[in-house]
Amino acid sequence: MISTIYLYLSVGLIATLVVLGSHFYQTREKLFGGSNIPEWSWKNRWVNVKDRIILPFFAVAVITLLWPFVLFFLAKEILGHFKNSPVSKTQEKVFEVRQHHLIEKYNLQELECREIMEDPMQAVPEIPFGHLNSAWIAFKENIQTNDELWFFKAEESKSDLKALVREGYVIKRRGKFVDNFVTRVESIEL
Amino acid sequence: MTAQFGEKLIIDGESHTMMTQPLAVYFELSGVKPEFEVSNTALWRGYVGTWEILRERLYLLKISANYTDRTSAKLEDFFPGYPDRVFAHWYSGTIRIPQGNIVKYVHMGYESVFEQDLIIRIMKGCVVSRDIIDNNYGVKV
Repeated sequence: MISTIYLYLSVGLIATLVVLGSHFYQTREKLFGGSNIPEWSWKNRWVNVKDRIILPFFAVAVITLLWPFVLFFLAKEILGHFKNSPVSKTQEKVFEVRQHHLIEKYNLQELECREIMEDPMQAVPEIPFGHLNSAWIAFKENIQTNDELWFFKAEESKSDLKALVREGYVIKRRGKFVDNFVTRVESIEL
Repeated sequence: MTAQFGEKLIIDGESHTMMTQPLAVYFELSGVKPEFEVSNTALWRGYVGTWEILRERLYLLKISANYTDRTSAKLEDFFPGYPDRVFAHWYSGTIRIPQGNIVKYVHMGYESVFEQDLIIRIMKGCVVSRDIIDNNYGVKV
């Protein structure tokens, strides 16, 4: 019985060293660029005592005693990241342009002329859609004779306070939207 | 999710930490999906970009990342012919630069609260406004 407790606490101690080592590697100093960590001062003495003494002591005690839970939550975070990655979200819900999103119709020449990028530092190619030109070329290959090209703007509500704005161009063929090229995506506050 | 490393932003020669990821928007719009090595839980995106605001425009200067095969990523991998400076014309939105001391540490994403936030609004890579928000009172300074 005693040896089991020792074994449990020993594993807990190793888990503590791993978790705290990882934490110190990812210090707030690294996270926030180093300029925002309050220096020790009597004015902030309670914050300093809490952050530098009480919380580390509490963390060591909790991890050593409850390491299976700590490892469970760590594994959950790592698995959760892959489940919630932007790529998998994109695959879940594909954006679709609707009739009421359409703003203005263009022909191909007008559109490309309108979207040529310029920069005084020459940090963008002076071609349609600049650094997004490769994606534009790929999209353009889908355009057929008699297709219509429309500029669209769509606003999708994400919550009571936020919405996602998408702008770009869409190919309309015989009344149906066949492909779109998004040039702006922005989260806005309502 | 663990608090995440910010991006680096240079304004008037001074380095800041930016809690916004304009490069993620580029990857989304261009369809490019690079496989970066994720070396720790404070950097799930796998890269840190260095940005600059110069002449009221947002530029990407550098990307610090390794691919999953351990080779280093370079700007030219994504922007051929532009090894040193890329105009971020694809980005519209706000960028957040925390300022002052941290007043509330939150162990998640960019949720920590600082005394002030400099909010720069960008439209197609160009700066359109700058505001400082005092987080103690939630008002513009």
